[in-house]
Amino acid sequence: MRMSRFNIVSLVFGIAFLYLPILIVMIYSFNASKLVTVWGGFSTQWYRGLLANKPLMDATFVSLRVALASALGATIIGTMAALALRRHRRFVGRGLFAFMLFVPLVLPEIMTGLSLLLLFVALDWDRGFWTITLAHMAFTTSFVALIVDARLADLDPSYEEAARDLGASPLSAFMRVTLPMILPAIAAGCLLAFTLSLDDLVIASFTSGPGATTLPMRLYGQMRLGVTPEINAASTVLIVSVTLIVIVIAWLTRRHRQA
Amino acid sequence: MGTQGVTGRPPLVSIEHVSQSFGSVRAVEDVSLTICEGEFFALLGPSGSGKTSLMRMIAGFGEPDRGRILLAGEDVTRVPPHKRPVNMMFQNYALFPHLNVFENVAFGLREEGVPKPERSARVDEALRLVQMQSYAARRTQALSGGQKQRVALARAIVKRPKLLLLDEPLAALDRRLREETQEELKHLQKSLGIAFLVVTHDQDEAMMMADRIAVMSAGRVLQIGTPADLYERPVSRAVARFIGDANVIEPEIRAHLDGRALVAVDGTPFEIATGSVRDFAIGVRPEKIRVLEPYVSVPGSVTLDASVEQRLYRGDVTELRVRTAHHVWRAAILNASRRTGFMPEPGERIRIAFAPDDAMVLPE
Ligand SMILES: Nc1ncnc2c1ncn2[C@@H]1O[C@H](COP(=O)(O)OP(=O)(O)O)[C@@H](O)[C@H]1O
Ligand SMILES: [Mg+2]
Repeated sequence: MRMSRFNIVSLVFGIAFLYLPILIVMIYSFNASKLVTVWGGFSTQWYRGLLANKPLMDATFVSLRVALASALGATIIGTMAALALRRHRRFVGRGLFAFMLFVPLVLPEIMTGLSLLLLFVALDWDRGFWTITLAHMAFTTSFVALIVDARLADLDPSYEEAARDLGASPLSAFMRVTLPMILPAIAAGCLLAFTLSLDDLVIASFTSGPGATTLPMRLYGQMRLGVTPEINAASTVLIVSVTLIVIVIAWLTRRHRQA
Repeated sequence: MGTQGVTGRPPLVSIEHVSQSFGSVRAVEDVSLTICEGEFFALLGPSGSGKTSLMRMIAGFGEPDRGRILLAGEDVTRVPPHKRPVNMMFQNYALFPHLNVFENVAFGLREEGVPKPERSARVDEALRLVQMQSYAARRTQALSGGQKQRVALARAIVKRPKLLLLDEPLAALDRRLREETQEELKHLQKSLGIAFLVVTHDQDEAMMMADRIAVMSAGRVLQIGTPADLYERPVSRAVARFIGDANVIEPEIRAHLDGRALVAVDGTPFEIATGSVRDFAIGVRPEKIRVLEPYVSVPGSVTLDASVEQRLYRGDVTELRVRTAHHVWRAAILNASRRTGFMPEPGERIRIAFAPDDAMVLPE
């Protein structure tokens, strides 16, 4: 298929618009000069500086712990919700349940953050690690459910029936056939939940407390004091990690050839 | 003849007045039939006639709305699939993609709790029976259609079920392989002594493999019998048309006397045996119709003036479409007799003849 000149130009501009800023950040993270806008030669000093920056490293550990805990929780709950939706075609409130499960996908983050903040205040919980984790679970569960549900939708029911026919109880058929077959989708959902948690700023800002500052929050705070090449370096690390995870997700959810 | 080779054997499966609907679709309507131990039974019918639905109910997938299913005398109508002594080979084979060939075949034995050494020996034996022993460690996605079919078969027979259900087992194979596999399946069934229930829409396949066939249409069983029963003594117009080719003619019925009837086709009268049946059509197989030069007559046969409309060469036979005063007929001339026999051209005036005994009485 040949592309018209207009389409080629649109494509180049579109991609440039999306990726040029990121590319500039990555290039300047290797800048030897302290001035963000002036190229002073190649250097990796800012990356070494990251390791020495205690507040930044602390924030990174908070982020990783929140991402890990919330991703695990979201994966378990999201998978169970998707199974309930697919297995039981008819139960009271199924439509409402499905609707409520998928609403957080389109809800503005600021709404999610604000409503959770009000909830935690009303419950008089100390805000910190656990409130951020719960808040992240609340919105990433929907993404896990969406991915697992899509996999279940194109899973031929005859696999599980064949297992039942060969003498497997419903539980055994699920554990030995269905679960292994949907495992890549569950893993993809888990990784997606992990990355969403890792780069969330808005919801974390609403639900964190003293002593629990995530990496995006720390970067945002430092940036208000001026953009330094160190921030470029931290952003580059974050971008590269997230990109790698997204590639793994794409690989896990590639369309399975069914037997 | 008739049910020879089946009578005397104890019944294995009894289906009693079973019906099943999906919403407003009546998939199975009041079906009753019996499958005997060691029998090769086929459900034959066009797509959508309810064959798969009936088979799935025997396996335990989907409960009948009405009726009972007995297995070896025991009512299993409400027994879940994993507790029934039957196994099914699915239409798409449903081999587990995350397990290799050996693990697929061993799946059911592991569920049963068969100890490992015995499990191994039985899997090997089952794979040997289907000539797949050298593929034990292969992944199933890499197998050809025919190989998948064999693995699926091994996975089902390794459990030594009393009844093996096969849903369109050969539909996914190409023609040559299908014919070979038909013979192998038949051979395997006889040597294992397990009853087979095969679902198929292919009448040649059913005729070639099955001891008995149930012909289904729109959820109902039209007739049950041996292949010869169905071909030579169909009870209805639909069965006569579905099993082989038949010229189905509505004759003029003139009189009944002592189990015989005087009928006329195109004004030519003849007598046939009808028993107690009063209203019927007649069916004449194309190969039972003799094609004659005009003015020739055969004593004792029904002879009609006709003209040839079309001539179709089909390899083993040449098929003629001919028209008589009120009917259109198909006649088949064996091409082996071509050199000596009469072979008219389209448009030519001829005569056709058939023996009254070759007119099958079709009450329904
Ligand atoms: N799960 C189902 N839901 C709705 N309709 C079904 C279902 N299974 C079968 N049917 C309908 O029941 C009829 C019989 O189907 P089936 O038993 O598959 O026929 P066959 O195997 O002879 O082709 C068809 O009209 C089909 O559409
Ligand atoms: Mg079918």
